[in-house]
Amino acid sequence: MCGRRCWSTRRTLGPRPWRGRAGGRLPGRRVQGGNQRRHNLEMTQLRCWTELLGAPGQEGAGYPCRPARGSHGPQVGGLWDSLSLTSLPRRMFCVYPSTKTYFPHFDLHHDSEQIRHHGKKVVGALGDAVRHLDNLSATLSELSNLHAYNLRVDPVNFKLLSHCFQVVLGVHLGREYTPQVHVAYDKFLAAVSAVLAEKYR
Amino acid sequence: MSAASAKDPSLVTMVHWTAEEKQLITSLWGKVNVEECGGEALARLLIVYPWTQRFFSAFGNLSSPTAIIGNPKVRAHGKKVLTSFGDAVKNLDNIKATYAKLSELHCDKLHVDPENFSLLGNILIIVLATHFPKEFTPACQAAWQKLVSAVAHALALGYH
Repeated sequence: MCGRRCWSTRRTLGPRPWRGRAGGRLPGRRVQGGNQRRHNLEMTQLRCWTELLGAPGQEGAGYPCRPARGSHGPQVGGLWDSLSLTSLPRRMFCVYPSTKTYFPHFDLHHDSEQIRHHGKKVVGALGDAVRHLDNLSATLSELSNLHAYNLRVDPVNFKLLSHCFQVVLGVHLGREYTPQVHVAYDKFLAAVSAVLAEKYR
Repeated sequence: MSAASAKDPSLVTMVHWTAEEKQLITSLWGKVNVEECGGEALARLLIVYPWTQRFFSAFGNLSSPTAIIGNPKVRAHGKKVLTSFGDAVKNLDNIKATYAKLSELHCDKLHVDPENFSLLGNILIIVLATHFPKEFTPACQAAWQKLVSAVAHALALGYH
């Protein structure tokens, strides 16, 4: 005990609240006190599940994680690729046709090579972001510049893509996409969207 | 918009459903376990968007995801909410009238920000995706997104 006292009530206080190490926070977000432990747990789950999905270029995040699933579970390894190559952009264009307005130069037919390639780029960037949760602004800086000064995609579309990404995760993971994993991904995608839009004005 | 609909204001808020969309919605709804999915949807809302707990201070222990998932009042209310959603599925051509009274209730008595209807709608979509991965194709999701948007819009219509 550090023997701290409240200056007004003279009541003995406990240890100073944990403010979190730099490695536990998303940029621009102060996580204080009792929320730090929950936040760390969410980030660990995020990394675990991204590892389980087999994010490209990842060789073991070194975090305590569930073991890879056996024959009864979803495919490990190929899942991240299948997320990127077909389902995510195709689903977004189908559910939110307004998003197609940003791709007038694309062949938007089912399974077009352009959609597959673009999906791979988007999910690859998300994979990078997950591996650098502690420094999203720097990791996504070039993409942030691109979206702000060149593409000028309305930020509402980041929410639409994030929602479709979560639906794809739900479809692939089923009941394994628990509320705890859901909130971790929701926070992560919201943080990525905020970074992509941070240079807009 | 046709001349007829331009004259009748109520038609402006009608949603037009294709036969395929109706089929996608009703066939999936037939498989939904209302108690299970409704309870899960409400629990996820309270976990993923914790500020929504402000409307449920009488529900007891909502201090952790485990507490929320195991809370019997959350489960019961989730079932009630999703049962009401079923009314929309049964009355796809008149969602506005179906929710007129509930809209008034949410505005005047419950004081719920209509943004929460969209949040719950999207959570429901994700719950359906996890429960019915094979059926929840992009076309199916598109139909259900249209439905949850229509319900959210109908619930917000009575606000003043």
